Amino acid sequence: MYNHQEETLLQTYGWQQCHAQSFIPYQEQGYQAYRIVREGKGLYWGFDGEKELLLRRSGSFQNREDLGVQNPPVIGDWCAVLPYGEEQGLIEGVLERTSAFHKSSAGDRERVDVSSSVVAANIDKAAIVQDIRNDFNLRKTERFLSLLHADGIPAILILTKCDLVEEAELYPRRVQARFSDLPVFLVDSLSGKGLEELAASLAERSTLMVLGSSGAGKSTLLNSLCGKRVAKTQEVRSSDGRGRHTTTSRQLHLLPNGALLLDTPGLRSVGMNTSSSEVEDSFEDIALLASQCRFADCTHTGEPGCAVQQALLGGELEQDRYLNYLKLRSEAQSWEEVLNMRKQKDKHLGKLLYHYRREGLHER
Amino acid sequence: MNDRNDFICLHCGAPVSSEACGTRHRNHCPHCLHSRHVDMHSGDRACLCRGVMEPIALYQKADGELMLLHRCTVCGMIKANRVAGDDDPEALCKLVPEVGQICS
Repeated sequence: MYNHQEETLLQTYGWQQCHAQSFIPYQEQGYQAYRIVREGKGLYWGFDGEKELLLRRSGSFQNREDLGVQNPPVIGDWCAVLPYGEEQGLIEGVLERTSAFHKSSAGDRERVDVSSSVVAANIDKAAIVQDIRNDFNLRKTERFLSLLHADGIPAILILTKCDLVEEAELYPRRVQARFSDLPVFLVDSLSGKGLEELAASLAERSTLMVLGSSGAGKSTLLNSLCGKRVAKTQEVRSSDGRGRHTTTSRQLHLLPNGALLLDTPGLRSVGMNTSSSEVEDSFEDIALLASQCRFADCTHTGEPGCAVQQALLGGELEQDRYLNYLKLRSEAQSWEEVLNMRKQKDKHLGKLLYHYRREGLHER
Repeated sequence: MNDRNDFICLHCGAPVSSEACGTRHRNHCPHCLHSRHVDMHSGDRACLCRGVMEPIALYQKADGELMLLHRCTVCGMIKANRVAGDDDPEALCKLVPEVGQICS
């Protein structure tokens, strides 16, 4: 068993009881627990509070992955590792995850082989970061919230570069008119305005994943919270304020207040990889109205007795929110169709293989 | 004018007191009937548009209440606001051409 000091070091990096429980079989065989703190271009770096190792998957791990019975490790995962050499280790297993964030890209609808993959694990909270001047977009926020809601990850919204607009305090008010439960933070990373309040909201040993478009100011925010330059940054393009994709790998950093921050590359697009029912659940106000519709299978697109349409006409529901709800629901439905098509394809292939194995290759 | 909700009308320049007859929130100028797109929900001042809203129509609800329709000149949003007791009757009449002819 780990001694108290070792356990405390691990807890600094987010080690929890469930991880300790799932690690017991590995510990008895002499493995050590490392958290993946950096991932990029097929490589992993693990840290246990004291030492950083370059990790690769063991042969048996890769075998299980190829058979489809083992999930690949991602950043944030706690892994059972066998160290070898000075600074290297072999990943033998991935410990139980408290949460997992899935992502796919919009525009992949035509490809049946696309998959929604886990990109980060053991996340306690996600921060949607938006540049208040060029990137403030309630629909995009809604999209992120829907995805995070499906993965059970609570969210906050951070509006950066608040010195670049007048009456910046209007923006949180606008956000809260649409998302009354969403905490909003106005920050100016360069001057430090708003950082104290943000840091105070982050619990020690909790992991915050920052998401947002390229150029939103995620890495600059990280550098300001750490009080030193730990991530590379660049200025945005002067023509349109968009980013230059400076951050290319995901990395976990320990902040001075004890919280952990996961910096991610900017997202080009965010596809809906959830079911349509999960999208409907994430729009709680619309879900509540839907329960009052005349028809149980009301699609809220013109049926008589539709409570959603009535709320829209009465001004209780924002038109933009309603339109975004329809759009996200439609994307989720087409994602479900893609998954069904893939399932049918796999089923058909499976039957064919079974038939060939049973009847022999020369017969049909 | 000493209430922080008092304002100067962006359209006609008249000073407007925040106290209005017949409605909780003063939402349009009683002289020219123009408004400003500042609310998402009545009184929250959460809208970022801040465009001038022009009066486009007058209508009467089933319960007899008179409502003013405004359209934002920036984003096109149409909103309905209750007519206040101190709204200029001539300005209101101009929104209803047939009535306007009778009044003139």
